[in-house]
Amino acid sequence: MAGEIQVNSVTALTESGSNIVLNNVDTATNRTNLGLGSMATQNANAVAITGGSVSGASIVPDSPFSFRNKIINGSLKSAKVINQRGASSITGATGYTFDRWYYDGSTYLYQGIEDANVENGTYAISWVGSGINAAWKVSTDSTAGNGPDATTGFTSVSNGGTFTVNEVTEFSKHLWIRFDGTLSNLDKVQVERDAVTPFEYRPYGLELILAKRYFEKLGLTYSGHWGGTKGPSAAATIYYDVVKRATPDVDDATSRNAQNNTTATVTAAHITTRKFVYDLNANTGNIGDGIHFYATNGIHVNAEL
Amino acid sequence: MYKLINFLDWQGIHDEINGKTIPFDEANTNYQEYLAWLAEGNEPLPADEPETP
Repeated sequence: MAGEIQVNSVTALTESGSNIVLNNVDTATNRTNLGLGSMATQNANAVAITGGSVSGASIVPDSPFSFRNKIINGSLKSAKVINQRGASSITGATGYTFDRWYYDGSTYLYQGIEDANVENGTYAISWVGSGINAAWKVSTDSTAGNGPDATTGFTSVSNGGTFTVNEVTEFSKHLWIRFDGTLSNLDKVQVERDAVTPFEYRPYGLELILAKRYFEKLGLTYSGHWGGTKGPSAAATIYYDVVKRATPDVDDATSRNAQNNTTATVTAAHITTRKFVYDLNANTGNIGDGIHFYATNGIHVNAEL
Repeated sequence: MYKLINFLDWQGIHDEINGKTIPFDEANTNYQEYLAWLAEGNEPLPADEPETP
């Protein structure tokens, strides 16, 4: 028929049913002939990208690339471990030692993941170090028996294992992770959603900011003048580096009268999640005396779980 | 031992042993310890009387 060519047989093509398929040509040649390049190959259930770049597409991973680790300060054996309290070791004393880590003084090491960061779902836990056991629990608050002093309600989980948080009200309970065993071996602790991934090294400054939401050690240098007891006098307003999880408790400081060199304790007041005030409310000197506030060992601002 | 603080328009608690001020915030763990201490039947020291003009 005019305008049509009928092909009955061509080398390297095979007729299969009503289709013609390529034959006797290797895959790479086929890809090149089709202009597909070589950076990616697609199989039945996966795409392998071996080079090049992807543009013009919005890619949303199932799990985040960063901020995977819900543990703060998990790189315990690093020279950059955050230790604002100056603890001698992770088990150096009863109470909070390295930032975010609580030691009960004999057996257990805890970290509480704040309720605001605990969504429902599957969690995977991993760490480096032999002779370590782990367990988890959720609790509504930090009252006696619900926080790092809790001894019951924990469920064991193995290194690389998973567990599920499924609360009626999401973001309503803290997630406590507890370790025991050879705690001095513990390192690179990670708790993340869904499945274990390599330990996430966050920038040091960022990790420090995350830790300061719960505890901050401040320096203090303030000079003012005594003005009497009828209102704010010789008052220093101190702002934290980071807004706190809850209204924190704040250490006392010392005031020194520059005229007669007497010292007195000055207590914090007007405490909020953003700042507090040292306000001298008594003075052994005279109106107008120079007043200096200081804290030899720094001021501890504590909003830990 | 604890002592109440009534400083101008702000109220809190002073931990006399550890030297720190504790706010009235139920999310603060040291305030929770104070509540547990109260529940045992203890009473804090009263706040200093404000100086009258």
